[in-house]
Amino acid sequence: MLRRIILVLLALAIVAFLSPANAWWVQWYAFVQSQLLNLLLDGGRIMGIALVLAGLLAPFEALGWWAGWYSSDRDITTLSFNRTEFTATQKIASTAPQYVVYLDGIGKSSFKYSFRVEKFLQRLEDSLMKKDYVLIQDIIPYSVFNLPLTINRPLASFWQWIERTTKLEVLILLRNMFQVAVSVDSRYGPIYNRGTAQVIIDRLLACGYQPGGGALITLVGYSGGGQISLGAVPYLKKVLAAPIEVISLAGVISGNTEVAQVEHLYHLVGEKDLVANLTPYLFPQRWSLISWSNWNLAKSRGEISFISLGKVGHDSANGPLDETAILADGCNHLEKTLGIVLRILTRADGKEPYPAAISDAQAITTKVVSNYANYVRANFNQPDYYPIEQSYSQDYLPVGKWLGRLILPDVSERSRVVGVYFEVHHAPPEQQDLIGKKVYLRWSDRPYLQAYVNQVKTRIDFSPQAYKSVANGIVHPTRLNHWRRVQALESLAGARPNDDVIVSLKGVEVVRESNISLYITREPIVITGKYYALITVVELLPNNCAIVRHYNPVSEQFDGREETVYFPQVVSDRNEVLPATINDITKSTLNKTGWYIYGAKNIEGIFTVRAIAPHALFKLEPAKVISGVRKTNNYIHNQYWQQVKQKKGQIDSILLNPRNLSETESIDSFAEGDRLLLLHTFGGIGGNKREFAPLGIFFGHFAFGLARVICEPLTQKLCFKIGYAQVYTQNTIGIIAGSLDWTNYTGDRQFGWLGTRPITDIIVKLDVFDEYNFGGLHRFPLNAIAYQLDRMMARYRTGDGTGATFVGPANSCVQDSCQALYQAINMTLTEINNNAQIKDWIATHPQHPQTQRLQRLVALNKDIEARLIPWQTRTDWVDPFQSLIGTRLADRPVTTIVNALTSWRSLLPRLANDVLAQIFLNHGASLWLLQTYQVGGWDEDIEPIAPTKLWI
Amino acid sequence: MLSTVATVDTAINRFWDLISGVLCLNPATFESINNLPLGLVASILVVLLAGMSQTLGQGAMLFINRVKPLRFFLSVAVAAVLFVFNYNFWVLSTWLVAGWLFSVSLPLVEVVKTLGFSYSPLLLGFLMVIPYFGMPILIVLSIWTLLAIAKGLGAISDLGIWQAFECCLGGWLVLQFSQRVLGKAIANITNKIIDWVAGVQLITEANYLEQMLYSGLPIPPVTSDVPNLLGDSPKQSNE
Repeated sequence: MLRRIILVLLALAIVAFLSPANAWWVQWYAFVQSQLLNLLLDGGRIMGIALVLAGLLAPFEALGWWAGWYSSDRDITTLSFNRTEFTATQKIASTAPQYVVYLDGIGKSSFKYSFRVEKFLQRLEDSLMKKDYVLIQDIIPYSVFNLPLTINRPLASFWQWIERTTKLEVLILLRNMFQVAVSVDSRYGPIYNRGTAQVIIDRLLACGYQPGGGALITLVGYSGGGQISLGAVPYLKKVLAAPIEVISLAGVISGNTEVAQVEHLYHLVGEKDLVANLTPYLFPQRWSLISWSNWNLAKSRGEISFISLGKVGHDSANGPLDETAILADGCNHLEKTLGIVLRILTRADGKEPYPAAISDAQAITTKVVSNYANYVRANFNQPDYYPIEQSYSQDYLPVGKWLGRLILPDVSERSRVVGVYFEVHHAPPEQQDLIGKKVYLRWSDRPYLQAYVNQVKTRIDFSPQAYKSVANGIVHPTRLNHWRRVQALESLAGARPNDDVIVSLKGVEVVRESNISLYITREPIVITGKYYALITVVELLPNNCAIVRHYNPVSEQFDGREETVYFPQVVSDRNEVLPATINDITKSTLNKTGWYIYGAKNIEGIFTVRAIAPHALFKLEPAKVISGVRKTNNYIHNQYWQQVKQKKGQIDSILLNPRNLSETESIDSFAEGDRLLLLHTFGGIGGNKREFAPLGIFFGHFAFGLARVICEPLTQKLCFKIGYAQVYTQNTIGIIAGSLDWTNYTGDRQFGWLGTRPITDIIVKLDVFDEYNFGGLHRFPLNAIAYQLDRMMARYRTGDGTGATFVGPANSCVQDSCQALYQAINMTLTEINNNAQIKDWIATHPQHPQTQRLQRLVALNKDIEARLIPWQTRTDWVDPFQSLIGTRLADRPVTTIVNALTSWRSLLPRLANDVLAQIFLNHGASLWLLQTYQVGGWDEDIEPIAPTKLWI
Repeated sequence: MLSTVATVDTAINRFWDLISGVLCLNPATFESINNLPLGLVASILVVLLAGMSQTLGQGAMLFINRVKPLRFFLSVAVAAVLFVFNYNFWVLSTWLVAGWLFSVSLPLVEVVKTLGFSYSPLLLGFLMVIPYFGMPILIVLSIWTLLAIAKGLGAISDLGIWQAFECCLGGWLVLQFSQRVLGKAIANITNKIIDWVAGVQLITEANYLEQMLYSGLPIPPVTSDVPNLLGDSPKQSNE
């Protein structure tokens, strides 16, 4: 065998060397030696130069488009608006379809799709057709004016040739790859993405998208389309105010994008996909080292789901859209990809098929029981302890016209309910038949209200921190996890694990169709106790009951009917502090002036007291009036939190009168019907059961509120009625961020702070906040404040979609309340500035008292701005989309610290409170301080602590 | 007469030779720069071209401001001239620092020539235009330039490479400092010139640039109609 082979080789060698072919062979060899290397080098050089040239030319399409170099006759950078009228949605948005926009990969040169993509889109369309979806295709993602390569370009015929012959397709890839690089580039990206965003917006509007309507937009980006979709997101958000999700199919994503603005990103990548798998190495923002990048922030917030497509490559054969390649489980690549995309698009609420990989969600085993969970174990803290239909004597009055319980609908009922259920406990006389019924509670369909409702809609997916926080015994909206488009009513009803939010409704419109619905124009107010009376405690009985005597409006004394009521023994918190007690309540000095008691009758017909309020606190009778600018300033600066320990169990009611009015004049300036801004702060719990305060610093809490001067029906006298706008992070007690009545937030014997914390409420009487009437056009700064606070509270309830808000240096109760105030005043002034009719009115009435009042509002705003944000405006205060509530220091160390320092005066609750109070004083406001120092019965184990001010 | 001029080596004749020598960081090149006639003109030419190339690379800002084509090129040209002025100030301060810090006494003209040619790598500054990869390219070019400067200074004096660096840094600091002190006026003048040439008031602050990009989009006004959350009549009390 071996011999035979050697023979053959020898024969071949002889033939080779002796034949004329030998000359060719030698020639070829010489050529290889001398020329080939050069040829290769030259080829490489030419390719290199071509690459550089392509790179150099790449940005100019976008740049020239923006600068208007290509078209002189019309401004193509302005979106034409004629096709759709820009109004807020008229209908409740439940019928709005879902919009799906497809952005193709970098192989695209014309509107024609490759056969694989075409098949994918066809099948996608077929699957979505039966449902309410709008699929938008035919977008060239690699051209800022949606112009294919094959039309109207200098090289159009060249690209046509490539498309026709399918030769040199790599040039198309190269050209489009550079366009992706333009989108990534920090210099050109904003322009380029502005262009593609405009194309997308244009198409969406043409397909009937209602800006502000809240309909979901899903961008499906294949390969480079992933980057293009994310690049367009900030513009889409700003123009359409829409929730946006992105599905990246083997997407090339840089991490330079504002990915944190997206509701969710589904990143589908095959295991054999070299392109998508190598992309992260190219972009430092995607390295885990740069932990504060947008990409990593979104990742840590659980906003990115990484989904494997299996052993699938990047494109063409073996790509994710290939129908011939079969996976191990028997289905082909296209089927697999389509299945995943459809599952995402058509998923039901509450069931997230591809949750972001949050490692420690299940891992947490040790669970702390929340105070809330302990509290609601007691039967008197449960709603069904109080039968709905009960009759009350005339000593009791309902606390509102419409009272009832919010019930969160099941996920499957959401589209029908479009709001929440409301179990009617009390209704106005003409609607008595509704009592005991479960009706729909919805937002009124007035357009301006719907615009607001849509603005705060968000999907909720718990972040890792939220899961951890739940395990630490904090109450989070666990029932809303993985819900989409959660609206403010749902986040209120679902804020706790149980349906036990009792509210009072205002501005109700009843619609009786096949189902009964209540339409409201204002946020429900969370209350405690549905009926109230004014009593003094006569005697305590051993079984937690007490004999009380009612107030007699005729004699104006407590010589009315005697009755036994029930003061249930409340459950103590984790520090064993009792939130309230009736121990020695008869000895309290406040017992003489009486208590309001709030509650309802239990099954035995005994009135059960769930909240109390010292009557004297709300009367318009100050214990002391302090006059003069200097003295009042000094009182805020140095005196009002002094000697709190000695004041335990007492109240203070002090009127600061900087304008030196006479005493009666200054009291009478508070007139019935007044609606006034309120500043709330609380201090800490000291004594034997003192709470943890690092370095002896007790930060306390700050909130705004609204006080009204009303004629109280039981006494027929003027008194304050107080409600809070609590921008409150999730907590162990289950206090909800929302409009909370005084009875709920303070007076509640189980959940309130009256018995355990010292509290100061400052009521601000400042005429610049009153309503303005510019020849029929009304503007009301206080209403703007309420609006901004409502928005902020709704965002706090959902944690901007993460399910949790945390206190941080840049975001907290006090920072975000101040942000709302700042935005509200600015909003009012901007509105007034931009309205021609109002401007005319001001021009024609320069000396009118109202014009002067307005000028003082401008001055006040300047002062607030100068004090609260002394050296630069926080960007997240100007652009509300930027604010990430609960941004932890670790997320974005620099931004957070800069933001915190920028608004350092609103870092500490007491400091912000005092700064604001002093600004108001200097602008002529009367301030009425209502202070309580652990009021109710006597608890030996606690003492009040003033909140720390630190300095100045 | 004419023929003799043509045969004499000048820095202009050997322009590209010298440039490639500098790019290779060849010390001999730096020496010949100072020996050849027309060295000063050639070095200013290098700086001018480098300035032009770099401004082209930074042109995105002009585009965002929607500068028209003719004005664009004029702006680039003017920016290049301003670049030359800036360069000369920097050379002056470096020269002063070198004299003061290391007591090196060099003729100013020699320093101008040498440092001018050290800017050769920046002739490739236009490569910055390349999307995404442009920025790393600029970093490479800057380091390259810095190396060339150090080599150049080393070649015409007996400064070591680190000392040469220190001179450059010192010169740069002095320049920054003097620009802060009397710079406001200079900056105002240069900005005025550029704005005048560009034909628009150029906006360079990042925030405003971003705002410009939002112009033309139908952004809904910030809720002009606030829902009436406080109820209709201010005098309804008995609720």
